[in-house]
Amino acid sequence: MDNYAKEAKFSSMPLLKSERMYGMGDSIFANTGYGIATWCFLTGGLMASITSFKMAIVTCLAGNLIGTLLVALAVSIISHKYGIDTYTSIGVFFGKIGMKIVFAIFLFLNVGWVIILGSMCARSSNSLSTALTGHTMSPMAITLCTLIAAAIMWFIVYKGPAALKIMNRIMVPGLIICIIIMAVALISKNSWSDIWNAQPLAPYPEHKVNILLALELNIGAGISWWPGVGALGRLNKTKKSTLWGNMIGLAIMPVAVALLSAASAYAVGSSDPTEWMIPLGGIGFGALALFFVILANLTSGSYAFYNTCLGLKNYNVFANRKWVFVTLCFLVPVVIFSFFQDFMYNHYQLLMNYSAAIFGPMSIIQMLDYYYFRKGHIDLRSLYDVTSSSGMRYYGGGNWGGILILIISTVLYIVILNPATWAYAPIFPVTSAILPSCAFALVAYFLYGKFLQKKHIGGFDYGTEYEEAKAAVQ
Amino acid sequence: MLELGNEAQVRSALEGKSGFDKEIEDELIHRVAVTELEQEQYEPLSAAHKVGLTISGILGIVLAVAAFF
Repeated sequence: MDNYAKEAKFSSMPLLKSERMYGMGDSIFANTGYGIATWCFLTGGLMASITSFKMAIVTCLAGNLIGTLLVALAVSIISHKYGIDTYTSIGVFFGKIGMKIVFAIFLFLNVGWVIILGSMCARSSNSLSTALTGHTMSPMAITLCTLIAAAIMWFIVYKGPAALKIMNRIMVPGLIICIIIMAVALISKNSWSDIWNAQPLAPYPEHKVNILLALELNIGAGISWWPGVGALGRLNKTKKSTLWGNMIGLAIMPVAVALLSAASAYAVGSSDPTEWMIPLGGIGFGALALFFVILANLTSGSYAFYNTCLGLKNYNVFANRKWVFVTLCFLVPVVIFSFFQDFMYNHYQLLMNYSAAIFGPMSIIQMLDYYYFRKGHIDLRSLYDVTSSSGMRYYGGGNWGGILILIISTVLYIVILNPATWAYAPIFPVTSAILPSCAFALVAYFLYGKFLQKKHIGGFDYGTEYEEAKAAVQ
Repeated sequence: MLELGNEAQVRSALEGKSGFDKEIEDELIHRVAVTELEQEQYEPLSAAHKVGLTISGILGIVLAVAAFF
């Protein structure tokens, strides 16, 4: 039994209060370790192309605060309270079979994320190698570095959250110090007023559209943490460390890095840290900063890897298997698709933008379901019951109505704003894409939830049963 | 009648129904029973933290609206 208890951090079972390892400091570090990676720099570069620096500050902060808070309230609260990861908790809203189908889609996305982060490590290593030796890596060498990065991520994940905690304690302070020094160097070597008054580099003709796109991009960035915050939330000792960890580590810190990157794009013409860190900080300091960027990518990738493997534990084929087996199984597609790392890296923005399209309405459905219909109580007995007797059986194991609402909401978003091309419908400047998509999810799931409640399907009655049981104890 | 944290009751609800092997299922049953009791034991958010988080959300919305002016 002890062995299985020790494996709890690596399974879909609830993590108990005594096993939680993150206080406030570690939670902020863990979220920052997950949040800061090369993608922050790329987002900053994109912001510089469509908004002024002042607007970049406003829209980055606004979008990330809204997106991250939405995800924290929809996922982190539940994961913290019950010690379950994001994917296990989807079983509540979509049913066990519905969850497995939804997760299968995320599995594909997560393989992509891990490879992109490995590729980001490889590209930073390439810049480091070029600066130190003058030699640029061949495409094959970059692929090889991506594979090495994936192998390191696997090893960290195999060791578990304790290894990630140690890595964060080294990486996060080092990276923050480097970022501050880089910001000072950037400002001291360039005119602050030029940066402050910088105009967008390649904007769309309509000002309002640029602002809306910047907001969509940043809300999407905030919401894109949806898959990972559950695995972090279940490791937290308190609710405040869970929520503030999310807000500081996933909303504030990445915004600071994205804004530094935007400033560099206005000032030196490049948002890619691998291009400006060494010229700006000199060989020694620039190389150190790049080293921390590599570490940041490794920790972010490791969290994506860890979350996915926890999700895999919900499948019967993995549920009874050792953690090492599960992690190695996930490593296989990562290794295979690493040979296409160049293609994936160049399309990273696609994954980010589609996140807003999917996870925005998903968060709304979860919040409505949990806070309104379930009164903030989840029936764990039904959640882990995979038979037809489960209260969360819905229709044949899936909340198909809920899944359909999610699909329609996502399609609605894509019709209004295509995340791949940023081509938008005429209604976009008036409504944005995320608002109608989330509004539809809210209204449709409210009506559908009422129907389920009336039919006593989905385990909504548990909230009332729980309140009665609690009152009886008192 | 639901009895929170009653391991025997959890066992009768979950035994043979989780899809896990016997030993893992026993551990799961124990954990579900403990979690039912522990879920209310986490320190609730104080008023200051609630206000702080509310302000964060409102700030996000205000900034988003302000960006258009």
